[in-house]
Amino acid sequence: MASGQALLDVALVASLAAVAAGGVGAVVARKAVHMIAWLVIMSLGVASVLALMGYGYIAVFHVVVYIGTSVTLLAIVVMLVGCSVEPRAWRPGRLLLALMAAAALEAPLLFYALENPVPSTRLGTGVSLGEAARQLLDCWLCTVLMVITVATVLIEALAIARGSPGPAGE
Amino acid sequence: MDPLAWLASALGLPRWALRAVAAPLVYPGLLTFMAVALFVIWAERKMAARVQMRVGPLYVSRRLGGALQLLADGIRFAFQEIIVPVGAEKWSFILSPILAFTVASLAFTMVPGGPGVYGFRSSLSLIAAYAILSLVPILVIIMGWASNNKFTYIGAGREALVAVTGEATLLASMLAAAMMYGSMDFVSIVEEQARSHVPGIVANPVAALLFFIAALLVTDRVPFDLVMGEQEIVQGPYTEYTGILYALVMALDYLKLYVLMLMFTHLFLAGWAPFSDPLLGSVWVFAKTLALMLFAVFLRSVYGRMRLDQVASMFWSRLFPLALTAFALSALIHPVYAQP
Repeated sequence: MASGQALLDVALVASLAAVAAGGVGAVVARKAVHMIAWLVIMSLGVASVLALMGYGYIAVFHVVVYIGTSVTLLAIVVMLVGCSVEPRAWRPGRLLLALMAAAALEAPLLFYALENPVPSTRLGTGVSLGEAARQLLDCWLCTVLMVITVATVLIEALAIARGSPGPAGE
Repeated sequence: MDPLAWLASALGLPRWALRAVAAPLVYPGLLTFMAVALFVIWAERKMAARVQMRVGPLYVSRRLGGALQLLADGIRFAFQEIIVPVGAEKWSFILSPILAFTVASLAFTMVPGGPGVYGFRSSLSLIAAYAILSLVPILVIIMGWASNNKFTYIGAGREALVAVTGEATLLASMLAAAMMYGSMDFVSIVEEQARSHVPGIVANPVAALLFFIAALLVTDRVPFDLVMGEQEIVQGPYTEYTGILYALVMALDYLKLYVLMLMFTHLFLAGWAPFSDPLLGSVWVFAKTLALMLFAVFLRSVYGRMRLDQVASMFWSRLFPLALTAFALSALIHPVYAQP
């Protein structure tokens, strides 16, 4: 049983690593198709985390809707319209700065999680919506930060979408 | 003694692990698929030849009616050189067909091949198998992009359009069926049909028809073979492939067709019912699947290709609303399958 639990923990860490790697890869990649491949890896990681948490139904629909359909559409729109981002110079300093800013923004979430640890035996059982809502209200700062994060991502996406169109079809 | 249990004890593996490996690799997976593909492609060529008053494959194994022609072709492909075009993105070009084939064959872990013959049994196996299949178009798009050719590029665009168009109807008809049975598990879906003695195709013919038509679209069958479109865009996203990679990408659509027809057998044709013996049940499921595949490839001989815009408008404005009707029908019919 203990080995099963350890396996579950390893799977969770691997999925989270896939999410992180996919996220960074999608931003850093130079070509639209590589970005899409990273995006797929990230979404598979998210689906896997959801499944390990016990939300199998949401995980499967995440794959169907976000990867099967959204990424396919995104792929074809970006590739055929050719609105690629100008290849930027590789600046590790900027990337590090961005990562640190993101870490600072999300730090309160981490502190809250460390203060209220969930035993890993509860993995795979899922949390009811009511309990999830109570957790969110308990840590209102976390909720605000999540909203800010989503807003930042949205603004960034708009900024990228307004970028000058590249040569058609790369 | 159960052969699976014997093999598991001989190899020192847990039974579930052996199941999870045997399903995608042996039955209903790749080994069976190879035999199916050889037979179905030969039958497709023979049927088309008969309709067009030709002979079809003949010279390789003349006594068997040229049945080994595909095997000969396969061996030739295996020894041909794989040519990577100069402008191609090398690793995406080589890896995406292999990955696409692997991903598509993973669906066999979820779709049972007979009573008790499955990789994993899950309450979400129907939708999980579909989710795995829905990853394949992205890899086909990557193939089209990586080849760096105008025809592959157009093919990739068509693949994306076809995937989104077909999968909406496919998913809707599948969910309508799941709603009718009140389950997303293939095993319990077949058990429901066996218990009520009403196969799904009789209970909800609309969903069955839509599933079949949408499956033809996503597997690139005539009259919807837009992605390949031989007379228009050479071989679509697969134009630049040679050797064993060409064999893989050509087999990809047949693999998807095999998985989807296997799903159709369970969803609408009562799977292995009335048999409960693993061997007999598997043979029964296999026979139904093969008959469906033969029908799907026969359409090549009697239909022409539809235009891209015709297909898109037909699916979105006629078939998709019809799929919503299938939902209503499922809601009405649900009591037939509901547990007493």
